[in-house]
Amino acid sequence: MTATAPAQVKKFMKVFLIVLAGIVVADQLTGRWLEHLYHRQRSGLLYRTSYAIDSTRANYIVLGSSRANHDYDPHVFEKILKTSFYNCGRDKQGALYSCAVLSAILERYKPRCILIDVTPGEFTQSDEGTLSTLLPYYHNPAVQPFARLNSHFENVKMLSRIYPYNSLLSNLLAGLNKSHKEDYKGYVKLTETAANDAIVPYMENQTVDTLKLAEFTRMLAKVNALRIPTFLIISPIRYRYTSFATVKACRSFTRQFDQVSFLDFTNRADWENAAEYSDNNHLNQFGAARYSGVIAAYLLNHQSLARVP
Amino acid sequence: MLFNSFSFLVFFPLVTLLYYLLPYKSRWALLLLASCVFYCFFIPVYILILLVTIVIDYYAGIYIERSDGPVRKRYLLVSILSTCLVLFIFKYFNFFNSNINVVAAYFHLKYALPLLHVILPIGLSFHTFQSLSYVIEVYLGKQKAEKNFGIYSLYVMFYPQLVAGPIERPQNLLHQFYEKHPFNYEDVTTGLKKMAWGFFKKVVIADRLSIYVSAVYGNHDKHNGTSLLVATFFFGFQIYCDFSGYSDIAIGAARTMGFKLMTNFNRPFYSKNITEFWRRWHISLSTWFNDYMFTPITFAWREKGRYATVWALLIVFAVSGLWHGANWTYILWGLLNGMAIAFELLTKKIRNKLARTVPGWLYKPLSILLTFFYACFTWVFFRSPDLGTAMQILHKIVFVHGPCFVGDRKNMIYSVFFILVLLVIDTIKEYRLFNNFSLFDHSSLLVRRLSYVVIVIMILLFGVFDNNQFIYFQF
Repeated sequence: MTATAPAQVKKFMKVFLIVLAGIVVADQLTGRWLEHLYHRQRSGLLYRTSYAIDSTRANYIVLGSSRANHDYDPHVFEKILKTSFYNCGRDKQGALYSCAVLSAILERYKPRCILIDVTPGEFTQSDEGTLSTLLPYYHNPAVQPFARLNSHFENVKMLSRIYPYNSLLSNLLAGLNKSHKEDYKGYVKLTETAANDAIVPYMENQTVDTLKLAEFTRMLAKVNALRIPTFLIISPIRYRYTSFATVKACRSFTRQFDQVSFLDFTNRADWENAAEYSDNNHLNQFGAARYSGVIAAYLLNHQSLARVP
Repeated sequence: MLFNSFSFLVFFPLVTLLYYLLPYKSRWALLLLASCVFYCFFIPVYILILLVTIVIDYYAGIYIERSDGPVRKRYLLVSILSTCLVLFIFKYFNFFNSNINVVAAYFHLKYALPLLHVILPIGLSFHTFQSLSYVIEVYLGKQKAEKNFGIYSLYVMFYPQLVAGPIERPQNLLHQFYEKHPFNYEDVTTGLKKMAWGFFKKVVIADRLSIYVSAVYGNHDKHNGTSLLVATFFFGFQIYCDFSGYSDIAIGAARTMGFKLMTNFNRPFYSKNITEFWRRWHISLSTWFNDYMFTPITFAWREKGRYATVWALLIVFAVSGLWHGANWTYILWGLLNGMAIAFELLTKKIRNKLARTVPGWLYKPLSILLTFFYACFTWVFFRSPDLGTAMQILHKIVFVHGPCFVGDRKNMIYSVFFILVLLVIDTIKEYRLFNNFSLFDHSSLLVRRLSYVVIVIMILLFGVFDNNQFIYFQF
């Protein structure tokens, strides 16, 4: 280093430390404010997730992705089953999210029946990067192991207080308003109608995500040990489903666990009507009502059969 | 290793710290080792391909310098051909193979060369061009051949610009590896500020916009022209923020160690015509093509007058398109840009006359808008997977309208807001408004330091942290 270099290093270190301290303070203050907003949610996506993790005590719950959230109408289930129902599905989530939410729920109470909506490519798609939705619950011991799977070094990233609330500011502000409630017990209806296009094949990647499969198996073993009837369901899609990695995995679960059943609604001629879909992956409010009726009737029948000595 | 990854957050300060702690003479070795580690984060074995290119051009440089006459030219040709052969095998073989297959099938000829199942080494086109630049400069006698194999390897592999440029010239970079670069406060802070702005553009703007663009372009058949038009505009900003963001991080990372890399972007969206746009967009590539292709072609065809320039433009831009990717979409994208510049060249007088009849306050913004629209039009080809899709998208943009797809409302709000932030900042810089106002370089110490804090907080609050690759890595 030249003669002037040590002085320059000293100057730099001074500014660097001041800025670093500023960043830490700003991060802590902003993070605390966001955390405060998060816990004051009255409606919206974040409220529904918090409610599913921290509050619901419904006898019947459904877990899963957007397909769970938009396809299972609690009005119908409550009417037919005459018991409480909560929809814990969330857009852009997969099986690991369901495991985390279920894990948190099981810490609090034992639901009477669990429905898990499985996407057609569930076990061949990685959930990495989508689990940031769990980061605000990182301090919940039941959720943390799943939140850590979001990416490498998640525990280091959590040193930032803002990080768990990344990109959530607008949701947080909107969720303060109770009148913005768009759901009924977690269910958000879709009102659009899909175009009546020809049904095309659904191409599923054939490589199974072993980590996801292992975590999901562990969760099923837990609910099985608790003797909770659990239904894995692939709800209707307007695709010709031709690859079966996920279906195979679901069938193997039914062989491993006596409390686990599997319902497959793929390739069903009675579920091809575009008028019942919002898009090829999601049912609209009319499709959801009919589909929920079918599932609820099945569950009712299943219950009565189970009661037969 | 991606700049926007957690690994880089550890790698960068560690390498920079070690760089300043080591004696001057061994710093190049550290940088070379760091560059190897940086590259090996992608596909480690591919470093051998890089090594092949380095060995060929290192010896070619020495032999070219030692020889003269036709032998000198022969060494240059061998070097260019073998370097390009590596590029051809990994990047272009399958493209040419499939096209020959189509032509052979048309003429009912038997042609059955199998496709190669190889992954394109990351940044191959960038370091190939940087290597070529070296041998050509040595051949032209503008650069002495580098005798130190380690330093030459570092010239090709210098980690900040290894995978996506700027494509440096030996005259600008090689000598810097011999300079001492003592710790300089100004260099380090300027570099860090540049990096912060680059990260902001990449993580906050480009990756945010990519969510909408991918949703619409990925399902273009489900979207109307209005949504596709919005997605195309967004893609314009996405690719600018993605690539100029990468360049800023690269230039900034090098600057923190005292290296000065060439400017790669100069606010291209304020260009008044496509010619100017290419003087401001990916400058290191444009000047590369200008120096090593366009100028020699126009010189060789100088007797043909203006038409030589037109043909040279079309050839150079078609090759530039091919450089970006082995697909007809890229070639057409290049040709459309070449055609626009040729048009501007041929109509310069008429346009100047026209400019005098339209008030300046109207002509200038109109020119900027038209240039932006044309760039967006060409980007439809750049972004589309094939020509058929590009044509379908353009057809929808012109004829099929309807309500715009919003998708995730939050995402749309952030996208529009940060495009506006970018435009405000770039407008201030471009027109030196408010005494060339800049938060980073403000006269008040408090404002300056607060601005550093604010940009980091903004990145944490609004950044998209899903380790999105940089678009230009694929080239």
